Amino acid sequence: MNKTVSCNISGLIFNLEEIAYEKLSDYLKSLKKSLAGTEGSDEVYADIELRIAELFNQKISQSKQVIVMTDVEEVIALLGNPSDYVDNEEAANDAGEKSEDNSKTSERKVFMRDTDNGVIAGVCAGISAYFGVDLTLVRVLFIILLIVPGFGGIVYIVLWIAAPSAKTASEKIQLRGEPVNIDSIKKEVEEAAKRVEAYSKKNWNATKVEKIKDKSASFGNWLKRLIGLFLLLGALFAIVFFLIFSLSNIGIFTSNNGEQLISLYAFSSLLFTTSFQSLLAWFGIIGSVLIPLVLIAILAVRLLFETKGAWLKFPSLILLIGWFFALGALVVVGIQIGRDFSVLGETDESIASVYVNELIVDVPEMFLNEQNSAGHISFNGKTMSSFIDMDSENIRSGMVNLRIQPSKDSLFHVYRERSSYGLTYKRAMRLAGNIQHDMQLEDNRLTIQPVYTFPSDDKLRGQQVTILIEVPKDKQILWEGNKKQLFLKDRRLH
Amino acid sequence: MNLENTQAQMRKGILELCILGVLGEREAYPSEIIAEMKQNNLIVVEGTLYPLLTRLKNAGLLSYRWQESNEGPPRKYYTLTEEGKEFLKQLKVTWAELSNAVIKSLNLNQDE
Repeated sequence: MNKTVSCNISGLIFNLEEIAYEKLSDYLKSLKKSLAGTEGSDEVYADIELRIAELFNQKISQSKQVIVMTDVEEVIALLGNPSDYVDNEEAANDAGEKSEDNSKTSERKVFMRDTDNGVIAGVCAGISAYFGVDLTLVRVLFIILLIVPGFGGIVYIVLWIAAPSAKTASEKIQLRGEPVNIDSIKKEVEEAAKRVEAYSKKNWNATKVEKIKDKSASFGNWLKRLIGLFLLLGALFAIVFFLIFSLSNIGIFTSNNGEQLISLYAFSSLLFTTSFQSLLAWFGIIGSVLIPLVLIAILAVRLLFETKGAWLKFPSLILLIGWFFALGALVVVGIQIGRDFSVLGETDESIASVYVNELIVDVPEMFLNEQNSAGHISFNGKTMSSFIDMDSENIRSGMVNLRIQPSKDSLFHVYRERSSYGLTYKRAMRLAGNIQHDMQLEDNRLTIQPVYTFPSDDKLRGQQVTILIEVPKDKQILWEGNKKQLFLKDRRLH
Repeated sequence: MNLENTQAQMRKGILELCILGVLGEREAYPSEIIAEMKQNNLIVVEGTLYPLLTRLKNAGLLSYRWQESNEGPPRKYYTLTEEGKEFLKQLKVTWAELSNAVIKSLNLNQDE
């Protein structure tokens, strides 16, 4: 009694004696080795398997159901020893032809600066010519690469998702740029053969062997999945957080005293003049943050579920393009807003000139309009050096700047300077004039409100109020109230 | 110099021509081509044929179609493409010249 092994050859099931199976398995292994690296090796292998199935099929009958050793030996004698018909000479010739073909298209290209088409030194033009990519695209990418930090990471992730991995021996060789010749293929095939051998002992079915080869690094797989899981959780967490903070009314500028602060959304309404600009800015902000997070999530899904990800290439590409547009939108809005800060306008007015021995300067406690305000923003919460508070009509901002200088005569002089930025000088001057600020002089008491307001429609354009007090020689200022609420620009004279 | 090796090389050299020749007559699947070639003692081992067929097919000289078979796995039936027919025509001319020249230079006819 002999043990038989059942196996699938080209889709047909045969029962082989165990020793016959071993023999055939060895034969196919050596065949595969000999074929490795030659032209159409997979196809030739499949053809020969087909022929074996055909020959076996002829040997099977009602009375004889099992392929025995002599059958296998006959078939092998018929087909011949692989080394007899797959000779290295042919493989070498093929490889030679291939590398010649390659050199025609790519290897003879030399990377040089293209000074004819260049702007500075022709580096981008050279890259464009070398890779056959549109010159404008290269320039745009180059500029983005210069400006945007972390861009390389995004590109890496996108390429990870989009580019196929080098799997076959010749692909791996091409990857390193070694010439595809018989020696390099042999080296690669020998390495691959070692890997395959361990698995092909029990199962020589061609497709199965390949599958196992792919999964050979099982530890790496687990690591990949673990990384994928963490990436996915991290990305989803970040996406949810970003959406909550950007779209809801939760303040993101925190202060030490834990007040309710302005949300990013409310803050944006202080800055953008038109709803289109606001829309553009929001598209830019959300897109430029959210898209990389989504790409990371996609990558994580790929790692986690080991999908090939071919169906993800297109969405990834769309996302990448969307990301470019988002960055573009940010740049456009940035330039628009930036232009609004191009000219500084100042209005100077003399408030009073008084002759007193000492000037009492009173700074009342700051009053925050908590009920009506949509929120306020406070930088450096401890000293309250600056804050913004808003309602539907006005923006209230602090603090007033205070500058103290020596007087040229024997009088205290008080000046107020209101300033703002704008696209034009005229615009800047008008915004400066729109600033409302209260101060009063009664006898020798000067009351300075620490807060000034301007219309919400004016938006935040760097509006500032500066109080200048000139102090005569041998006279002094007496402080009342909360002097700290004023922003001292210069050192006070004694 | 190994005699067997030299003989194998000579056979190999004209094998492509013979495959094209067989397929020039009619459509055939590998086993048929093998049978025909074995008759003429051109092939020693069958395995030789398969890499050649693949090579000729990839070169655009052959094409094939699958056909179900009652007795075994499906078969690949090969035919010559237009390019293959032209190729065969040229090779036939070359072969005629070559064999003439070889026969003459070796004085094969007179030896026998």
